[in-house]
Amino acid sequence: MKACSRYRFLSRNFPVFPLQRVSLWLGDDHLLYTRHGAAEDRYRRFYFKDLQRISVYRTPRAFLQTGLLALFLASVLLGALISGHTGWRVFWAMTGCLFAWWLVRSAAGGHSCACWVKTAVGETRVRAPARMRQAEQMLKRIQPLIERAQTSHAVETETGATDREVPLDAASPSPLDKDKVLATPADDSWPHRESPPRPELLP
Amino acid sequence: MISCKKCGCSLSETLVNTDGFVFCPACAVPFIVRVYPAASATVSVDQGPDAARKEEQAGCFYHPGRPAEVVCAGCGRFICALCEVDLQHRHFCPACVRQQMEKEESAEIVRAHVRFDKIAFYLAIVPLFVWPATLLTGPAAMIMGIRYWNRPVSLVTTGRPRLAAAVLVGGLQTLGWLSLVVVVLAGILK
Repeated sequence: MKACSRYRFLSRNFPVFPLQRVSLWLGDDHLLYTRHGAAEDRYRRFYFKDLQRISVYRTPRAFLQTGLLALFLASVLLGALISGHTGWRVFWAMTGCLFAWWLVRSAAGGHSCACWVKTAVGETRVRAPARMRQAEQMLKRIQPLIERAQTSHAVETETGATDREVPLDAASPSPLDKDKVLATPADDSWPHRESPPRPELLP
Repeated sequence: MISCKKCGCSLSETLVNTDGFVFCPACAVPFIVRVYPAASATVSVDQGPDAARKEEQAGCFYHPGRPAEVVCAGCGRFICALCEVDLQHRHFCPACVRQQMEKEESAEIVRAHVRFDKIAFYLAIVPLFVWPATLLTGPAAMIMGIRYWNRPVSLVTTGRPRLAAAVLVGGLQTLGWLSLVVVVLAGILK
């Protein structure tokens, strides 16, 4: 297993549905979308060279959430005012502080959003950038990486000739690129050199 | 054609690749849509199974009727575009990818990680509310924490605080139960 610290954090979210923490990480040549389950992390990779479209739409979720929290806070404060016992007042005040902190955090986060990522395979809802501000920052951050990945791929496609040799460590042709050529395997770092058993023929 | 996710109306090209967000002309929802060059690329399917196989060109190991396009970096076999799997700028055949997946050798193809650190942590902490259960779960959490210490926790997490806490709490629980057993046995023997 390679070193695991090569991903840089982009954004996270804890959506109500599905009740599962999700996060988005920036890799060398891809985005890693991670769903953190109770006992398992599931990954999905979006390679920059395959990204066709990223859509971010503003949603009213943050507005509703902030309104709901304000309502809760008002109820808690009312409870603190009408309760006669000091212990209950302290309890309601502490609960109110919790809701107030949550409310401020929700309001300061800005507008919520829904994000979709489209590749040749399909379009996927990515729940990690939950707020417009986060999504805009993420787009700014990955824009040059995507452009560089797709530009280098396009240049390679245009200049690719069937009679030239391409080293294996060079930028890889994408599945869309059919001008690939035969290359010689020159990497000895592969741990098992013996030939694996021949699997069943693919359809 | 790009359409609005909310109302489904088609969006003109002036509304995509903008610096900030723009509004849908039909439903007025603010959005940002970035379209990248890969969207305009087309898949070439000119090399079907019946395509004329050139005499001087090698065939795919798995599909003899198709011309080979790359060489697998794992086993060195000629493979066609159908069989090729691109991993970290290297080309592999499906058999080598399967081997890597089974051995979890490459972080590039790991699809999921079982979070043994979380399991061990919950095993150490949750039974504290039903404390007699710690007779079993304490040692289990400690053993699990030690057993999986060297395994990668996750692709995006490097630290092992949960495993450390599981080992510590599970160890304390085990120690507590052992002490209790020793005290009881000592009392019986007296």
